[in-house]
Amino acid sequence: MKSSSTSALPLAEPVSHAKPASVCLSPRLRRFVQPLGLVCALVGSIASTTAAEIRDLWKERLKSVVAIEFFTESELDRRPTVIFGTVIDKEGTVVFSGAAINVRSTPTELKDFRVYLPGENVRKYTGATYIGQDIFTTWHYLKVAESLWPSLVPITEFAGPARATTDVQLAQEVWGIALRGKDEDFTPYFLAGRVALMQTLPQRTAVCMDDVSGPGLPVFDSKGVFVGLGMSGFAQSYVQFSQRNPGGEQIALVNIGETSAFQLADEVLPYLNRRPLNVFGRSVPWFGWYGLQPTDPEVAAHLKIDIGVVVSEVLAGSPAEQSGLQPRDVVVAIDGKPLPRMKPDRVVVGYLVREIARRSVGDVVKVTVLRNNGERVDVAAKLTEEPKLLREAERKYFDKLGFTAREFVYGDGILRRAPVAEHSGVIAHFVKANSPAATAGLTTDDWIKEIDGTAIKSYQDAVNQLSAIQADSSRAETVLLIRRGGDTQVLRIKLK
Amino acid sequence: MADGLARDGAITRSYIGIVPRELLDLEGFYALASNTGMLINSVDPGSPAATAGLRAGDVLLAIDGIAVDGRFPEQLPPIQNEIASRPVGSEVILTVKRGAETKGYTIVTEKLESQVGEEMAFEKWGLSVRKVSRAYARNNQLPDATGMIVLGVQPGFPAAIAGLSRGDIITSINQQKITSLDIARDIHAAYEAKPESTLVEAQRDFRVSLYILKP
Repeated sequence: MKSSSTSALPLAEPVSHAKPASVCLSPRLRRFVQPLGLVCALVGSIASTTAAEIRDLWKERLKSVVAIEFFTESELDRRPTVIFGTVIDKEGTVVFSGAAINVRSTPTELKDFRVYLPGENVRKYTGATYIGQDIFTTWHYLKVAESLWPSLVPITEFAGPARATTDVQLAQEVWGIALRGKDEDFTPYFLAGRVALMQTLPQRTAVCMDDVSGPGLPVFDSKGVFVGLGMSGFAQSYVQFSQRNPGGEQIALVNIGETSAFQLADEVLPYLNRRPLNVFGRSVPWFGWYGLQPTDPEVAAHLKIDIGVVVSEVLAGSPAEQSGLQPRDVVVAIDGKPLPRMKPDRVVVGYLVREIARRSVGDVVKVTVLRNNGERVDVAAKLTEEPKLLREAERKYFDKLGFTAREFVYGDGILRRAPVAEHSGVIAHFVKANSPAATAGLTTDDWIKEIDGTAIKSYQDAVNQLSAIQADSSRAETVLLIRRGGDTQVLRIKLK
Repeated sequence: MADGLARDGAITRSYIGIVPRELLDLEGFYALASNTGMLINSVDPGSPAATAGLRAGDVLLAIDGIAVDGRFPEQLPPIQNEIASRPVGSEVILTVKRGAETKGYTIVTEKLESQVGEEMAFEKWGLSVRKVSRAYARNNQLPDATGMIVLGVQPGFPAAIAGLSRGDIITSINQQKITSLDIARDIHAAYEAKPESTLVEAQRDFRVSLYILKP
């Protein structure tokens, strides 16, 4: 970053608190009326800190913020994604939101990571290497090339000295940084607001009256202490009236450029060193319960508990199965600690998922459940490494046939309700529109069990067979046996 | 057929669980003489045909030794009728070609059941349901025919207040498995006589949740 002169902020000195709130545009309008929007962000300003002070803090903290661009190369196209990241150490490690990468993608499809400094000409960027996603925090980790390290300052430099000081209070003023689009050189701008609500979701989260940062970017208090990381995808509920829905229809709007909610520093700082061992996000501890459903208050009262979680299924071959956990058991405690009641009820499921994710492979976990007529039972098992994940599955596109064959992984078996013994074949991961495969009726996520009457034993078998079919120019047709839902059927792919 | 109608009040048909499809020009692919065979497009899971080992993609060559010709779609109904018209529980021998191998399968037919189960309404709960039939269970990958499907809930009544909604499958009430609607009817009758909190277990997309019906 150069000097603060690159910043387009119309800061007045000192900031007046007396500005009438009615000048303020709603957050939705701000995106369209940008110059006014920037003025608006200053209304309800940071008490007891002058604009000049904030500007100094801003300049320094801007070095913890980057814009990231990468490309997802799929069968037919190459799509860019732009996302914001926060610098976490002096060796150019950056974290960004878990939602940024489609779960169907595999890391080898992610190409050309580029890191841009806010406000600098976008022709200038620095390459970066994708490290992987952490299962617990869901953050993606990125390593920026060394040339940029001197320009970056890790967010830990702005951490408060102790827990108590980093805690935010209701009505406290906080501010943060957001970035404009690539066409505007990712120009940084200032956002501020007051904390309106503190929630446990299950991470401790502050929700503000106004947007306070870009998603994935840091939030600070008036002294410039890091108080949290802006969340992405925090939706607000509205009712939309239209000609089609004159009575109004409830919709949720997500501001993709700014956020009013942030996870507190205590939910961020202790976990920054959780970078995964490889691009697939290993290690991933696995217990093996599935379809977790919270009890509602009425059910909890009936069962004489605060809150419980119903286990719909216990997965075959998992530690949960080994422990003796049974489907329909109601989980009430983990390692002796009763599940906390959080609002809404659903949040407790996230809590339980995180309780497993925060542990390590090899840890013994003890779960207390209610079974049958309220009988309390303890089960325990050692967590294992989760079976091959969707993002680890191998895949290959067959252009003449017009579909991608993907390795069948454990999760496919869960979704298709297939016993482990039947876990073979490949999945049609992608089907090209109007291709021979699509014309024959193949659709995405069909489970291909046989090719030309031969049962598929392994992914490699399928690839060999499909390659041979493609290579054989005399071939007029190939027949696939596929399963979709509970239905098995024969599809004829015409090649001529 | 008329005899059956007079006896049972309904037409009883036999079922083995294969879904046929015309073979068209696939003879070459399956190495068959022309005008022989019918394609088995799918086999209902758990059906007699599936239990006997038939699979989708098999080609049916003969029924009890009589050759089958299913080249065109209009030829399929008579072939289906050949099986459906047999007495329930009779043995039928299907000659089936799979790859290079041709093999006979002996299959015992079952009664063809309606897709649609019995329906019932529980007034005090504001709940109407339909029993899960075996056919429904098969089509929806349920392990067995336990349970009843919620057809509707009446706003303001216990089922609606508890959060049950259309399409949920109620599998047990007060820890009693719903293997028949009579069980639910008895519990409802007890509730009618003396309304008490009632624990319902239901699943939606295979996810199990608990609900309380409260007077």
